[in-house]
Amino acid sequence: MSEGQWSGLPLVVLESIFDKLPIKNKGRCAQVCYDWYLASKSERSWRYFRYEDDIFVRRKFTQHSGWQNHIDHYRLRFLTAKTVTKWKRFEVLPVSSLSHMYEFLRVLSNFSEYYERNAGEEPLSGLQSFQFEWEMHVPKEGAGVHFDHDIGTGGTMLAGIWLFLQHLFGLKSLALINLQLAEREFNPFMEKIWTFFQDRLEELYFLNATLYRKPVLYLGLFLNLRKLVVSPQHLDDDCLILIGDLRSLKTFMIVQTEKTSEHRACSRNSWEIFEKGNGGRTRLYLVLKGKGRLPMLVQPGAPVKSIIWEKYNGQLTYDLTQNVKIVFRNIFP
Amino acid sequence: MAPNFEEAPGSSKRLKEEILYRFHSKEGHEFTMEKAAAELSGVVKQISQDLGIDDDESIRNMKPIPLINVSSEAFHYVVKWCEQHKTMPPWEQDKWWLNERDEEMKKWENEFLGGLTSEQLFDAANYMDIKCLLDKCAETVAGMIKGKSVEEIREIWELENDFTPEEEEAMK
Repeated sequence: MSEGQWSGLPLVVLESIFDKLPIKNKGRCAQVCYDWYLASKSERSWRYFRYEDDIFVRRKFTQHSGWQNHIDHYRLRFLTAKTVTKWKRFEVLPVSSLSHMYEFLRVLSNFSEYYERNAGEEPLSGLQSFQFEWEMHVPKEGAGVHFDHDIGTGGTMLAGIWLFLQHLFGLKSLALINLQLAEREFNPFMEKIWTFFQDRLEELYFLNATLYRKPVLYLGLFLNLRKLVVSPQHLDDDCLILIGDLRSLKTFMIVQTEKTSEHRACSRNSWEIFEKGNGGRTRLYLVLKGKGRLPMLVQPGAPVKSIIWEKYNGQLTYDLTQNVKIVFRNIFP
Repeated sequence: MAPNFEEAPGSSKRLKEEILYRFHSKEGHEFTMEKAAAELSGVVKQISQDLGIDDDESIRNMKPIPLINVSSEAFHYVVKWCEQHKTMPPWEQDKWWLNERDEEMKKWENEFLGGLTSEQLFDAANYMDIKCLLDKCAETVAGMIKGKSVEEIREIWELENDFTPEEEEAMK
């Protein structure tokens, strides 16, 4: 590193550095000098917040269960009161202590509800983008062999998520990833999401909401969508035709991950209708992600812009090339 | 007809074919940058807008843009960066989470910035308003700050502690 006057950095630059720092370091950096302290209080430094394991947690000793981690309400109070209104994007990553995450979301919902009721304010309405990713493995023993059982969310956790979502009045981009819901929970949840967000959302990431085949007609009814990212099991012919008619849809991605197993391509006929209704305003991508060795699901006759292999370590097989050709022939008639 | 030797790169022929912006660095060296690359910089865009320059001919006839805060060394890197990123989709400032780069580009960026996040380059990016470079620099610096104590940060970045003892006490 060259000799430079780091102390002379303009505030804007400091803010952009603070923006990238994890929450644990922000407080520490604010103590360095007065300029940095100012930067730590600015709007931009807090536009991005990520929830991960072990934040806002402290160890506590109790007689009956010894040392345990508890969520630290004292520090959390400062976070909610001072920074939540500055958030623009909020991400919840897969965590190991679910109770803390649940409690964290509840604190935020209650905080927002309190202000909505008593002051008529909407402290969380500045939040434009929310991402929730679920991942949980439970070891199970079957036939004498240990294997990881991957289970989805639901029940109280799902209710907690929904409670939180209800306070996001300014949300433009919603990502729900790997929820893996059961049939009886999926339908009411989707219905609620649609009723609340139908004309607000501009981006929707909807991956593996269920693992079994579950076409979601609602996807074509978010009227202002500009970007839609969805797993193939949530699509069928009817959905596709509805999606093709969305007025402002620019990007449409069909994403396969290692969890995606039960899927079927949409029929050639429906893709033709899609193309006709769409008139070429949407760019379609087929994406294959993750570690699995799945073959790419080819949508026959789909007007594909490009095919993306992301972190995929499989091989290009003869079958696949034969199938992909169908798509390519469609791009270059 | 005699073969045309003027097509070699760097000759005046090339200058005529490509649309190049010209710049003067702090030390007075002249640099050129291709149109697509130069327009990554918000300042360049703003200047050409203000001067009403929109067609290629007037860019060629333009005087070099003086960059009084950018050293030649830093600008050398800026040019390299911009040439690499000229085909990127426009930077989304309000929806920054959409700015994704592919693996290859990330690798290139890390190699490019490996150990050279100088304050000069950072300043140049800020001065010329190159969003993607500024973002990457901030990320690198943030990576350097991570996990360091207050005293360590002060030492590395040569910062003065300008808090009064009372303020410092209040913050803890």
